[in-house]
Amino acid sequence: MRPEALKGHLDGLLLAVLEDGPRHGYGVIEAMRQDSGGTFDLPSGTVYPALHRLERAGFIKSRWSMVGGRRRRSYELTAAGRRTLREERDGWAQFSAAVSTVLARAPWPAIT
Amino acid sequence: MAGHHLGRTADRSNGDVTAVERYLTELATHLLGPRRARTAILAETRDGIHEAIQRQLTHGQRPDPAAELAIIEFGPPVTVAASFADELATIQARHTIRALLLTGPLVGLCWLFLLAHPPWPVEPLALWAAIPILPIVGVAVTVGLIVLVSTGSMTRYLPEPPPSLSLLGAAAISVVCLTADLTMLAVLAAHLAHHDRLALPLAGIAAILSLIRLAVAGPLAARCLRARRRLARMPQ
Repeated sequence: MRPEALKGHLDGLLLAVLEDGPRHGYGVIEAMRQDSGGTFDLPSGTVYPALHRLERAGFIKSRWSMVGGRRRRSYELTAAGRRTLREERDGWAQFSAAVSTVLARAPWPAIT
Repeated sequence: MAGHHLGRTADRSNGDVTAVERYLTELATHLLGPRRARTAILAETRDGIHEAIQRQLTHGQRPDPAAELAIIEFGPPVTVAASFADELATIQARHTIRALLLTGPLVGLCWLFLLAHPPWPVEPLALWAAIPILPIVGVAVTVGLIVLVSTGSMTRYLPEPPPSLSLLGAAAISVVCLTADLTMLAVLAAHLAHHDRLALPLAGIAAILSLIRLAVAGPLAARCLRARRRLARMPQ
């Protein structure tokens, strides 16, 4: 899937991947790949800058550590990030239900 | 035989490391921005590539192809650098503005104490007459605070300005500092030429601080404008 197809949803997906605990940048990429069954195979050039932007906004925070002689930057959710993730989930549930209804040409709520 | 095998593995490990370091060296040449931010990006990318190599090895790849595949997965250095361009530009603008806003009051207070003795005039016109560059400094401070706020934690509530605009704001504030310092030095020279009574030690301190800031603000403005031009040329 092309990264631009995720426009508007990438932040929520990154926050969700970090919900269970801290991950480093490549760990976030791998988790997205595994959790989506390979659908979201995002390049590092998309994920790393997005993580840095989320940190600047205060939704996640990072911590440096040494692993195998290398510096590692790990990210975890802040309280603001957890609140935003809840809002993203609610917003997505409503949005996806509405899209499903229209696409299925069925009355609200969609009955499949 | 085992030793020979270990020797071969060590050679391949060295080859992996060499390939990764070659990649990072090339990436470093394309990253443009504050040194600490570039160093952090390189460190994080190094860690990520080594994790990608480990993933390939776990899936049964041999070391040399694992390193190549990991590097391919990360993408060409010029593409990776382009993806960090906006972030580095914003960091450059923020660093510049923070440095000038933090040093501004120190320099300003020296001139205020020197040229507008307490009790300081409270009427705006009188204050402006004492410190002619006050209005433009006020505008610069406002612009600086807007850029800092809109590119920091308030990005969760406010639209973030394009990095090129933030760089332009930072460059403009640097130019205002240059103008302010040159103006105040000219005012000081005029006072000295008229043999006005001034606290000479304070005049010396104010002049030195302005000269230091002149030496710093000029290159800061040039750096922001260069970064803005390079950002415009970056592949999107």
